[in-house]
Amino acid sequence: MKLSQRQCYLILLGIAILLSVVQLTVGGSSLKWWAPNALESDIIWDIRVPRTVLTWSIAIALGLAGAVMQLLLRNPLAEPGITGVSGCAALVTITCLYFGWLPAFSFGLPALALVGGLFGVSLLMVLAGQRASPTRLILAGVAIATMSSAAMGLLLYLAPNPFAFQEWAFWHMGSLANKSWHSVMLALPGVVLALPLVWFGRRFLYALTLSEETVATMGFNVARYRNLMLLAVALLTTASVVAAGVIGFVGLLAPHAVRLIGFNHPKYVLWLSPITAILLLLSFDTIAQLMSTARELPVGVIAALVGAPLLIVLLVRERTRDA
Amino acid sequence: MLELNDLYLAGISRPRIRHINLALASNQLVGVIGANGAGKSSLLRGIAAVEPQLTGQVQFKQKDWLGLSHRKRQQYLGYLPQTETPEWDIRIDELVNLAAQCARPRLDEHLRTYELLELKERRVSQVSGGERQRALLARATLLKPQLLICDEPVSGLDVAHQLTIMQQLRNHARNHGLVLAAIHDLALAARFCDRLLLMHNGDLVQSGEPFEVLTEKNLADCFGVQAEWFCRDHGVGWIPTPLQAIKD
Repeated sequence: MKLSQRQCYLILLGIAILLSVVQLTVGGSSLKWWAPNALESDIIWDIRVPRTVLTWSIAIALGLAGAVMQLLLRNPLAEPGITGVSGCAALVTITCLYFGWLPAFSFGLPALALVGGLFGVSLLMVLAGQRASPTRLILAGVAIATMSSAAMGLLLYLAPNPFAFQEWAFWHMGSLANKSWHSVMLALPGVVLALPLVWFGRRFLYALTLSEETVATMGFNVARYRNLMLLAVALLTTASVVAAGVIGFVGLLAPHAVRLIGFNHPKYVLWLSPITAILLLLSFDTIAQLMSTARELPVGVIAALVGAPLLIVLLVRERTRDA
Repeated sequence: MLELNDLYLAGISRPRIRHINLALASNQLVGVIGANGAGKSSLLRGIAAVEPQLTGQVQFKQKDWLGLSHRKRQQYLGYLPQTETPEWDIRIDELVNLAAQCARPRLDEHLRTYELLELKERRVSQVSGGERQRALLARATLLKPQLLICDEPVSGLDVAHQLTIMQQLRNHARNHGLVLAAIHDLALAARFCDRLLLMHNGDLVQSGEPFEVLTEKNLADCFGVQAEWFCRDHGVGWIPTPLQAIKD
């Protein structure tokens, strides 16, 4: 039986809702959901529910950014981190914390991180050139990511606080633990702003099935559309970085999962990747909560531990099917 | 219909095309011929407006062609580049209708014209090179462009597919407008094209009907071969035959 895009969406959405219920109920303390007391009500509404909403927001950001990058660069290895955007956003955040330049209002830090992300995108465009090939974009992105990582390392090495490196390493692995509605509000604006941009550029991304040269004759100003898509990726990546740190692998795995389970079409990859990322991140976070350690495992570690074998299984399955 | 004025495209060691002036009428299949590196692809890419360094003027139906927006230009232009490998293993009908949003009955009619209707549910990886090339040509012609530019559309195809594609290009020219195609096979060019443009080292050496352009002197000067002409008067046409490379 062949499923339409809408049917796939509904089925995946149903599974995501089920997984969300599981994620909500696996926390450290057991709760009376139907008749919570004041403390339990606080735990539910100020810790559990925001964590699930944040998981959805971050997953949509990572899944969509990963899909856009893979379609844009015509490269299955592309992922948001490869643009250097998350590195720049993280660098700005750490620099501000290091020098104590904390803005007076609560959205100041994510706004500064966004500036860092946009700076990363601008640098990427300048380094790659006006009519950059995907290879040049990837190389420029890797250079920016490496430079920002080195700068962060230097800052932390020179930090007077001996625990700074440990804190940074923990944050850098990405975590959904101890998040509140504030974190949700940090992530949501980027996602909300990026979604219409990606919708606007969707036909351009589908057209990139063919070479950029051909796409330029199909009514698309390639440079303009590409910059717009990079801006969307910057918004999505920054949203995820400022709210939950750097959660790697989900942005790479989600589009691959869509592709490898048989939806080998740019339209499916673009719109099923966010919801696949939701399923993955909900599962990873549930595992992170269930694993009993002194300090909750960062979800980024689980994403790599579980995601990499999952990717290998999907690849083997595809090879068996093709044989 | 199409006028080129002083078209120039700089290259790394030498200009890729040099000061080309030309006027072409509608409903013609125009073949662009020349040895490797003669400037055929550069000329076609320049006219397709995918070469940002191009200088000079291109007028299409009295419009400043290079000054048109991408969307406006797309209404007139169909383009098939020299090499095109679809990144995604999508179905043939999806490939033909890529970013075009053509309604199903019209799409099926177009697929029938290009003998792709039976293949429409197959994926790109499941068809032969010739069928894929036909699908790519069908994509370029779906919106019935008045200017169709094809860079070596029959390279690497077997004889039957070459003839099919050339016939489809000629049909498109007759019914919809001007077709410009870079062609390496001089016999095919002589047989199907209404007009040939002979390029050499970035220069337009000669423009005219095939028998005017495919002279022994031109073939020797531009291709470095001696040629002998065989005349067949049964509707096949002139067939230039390279005999041996000229030794310096």
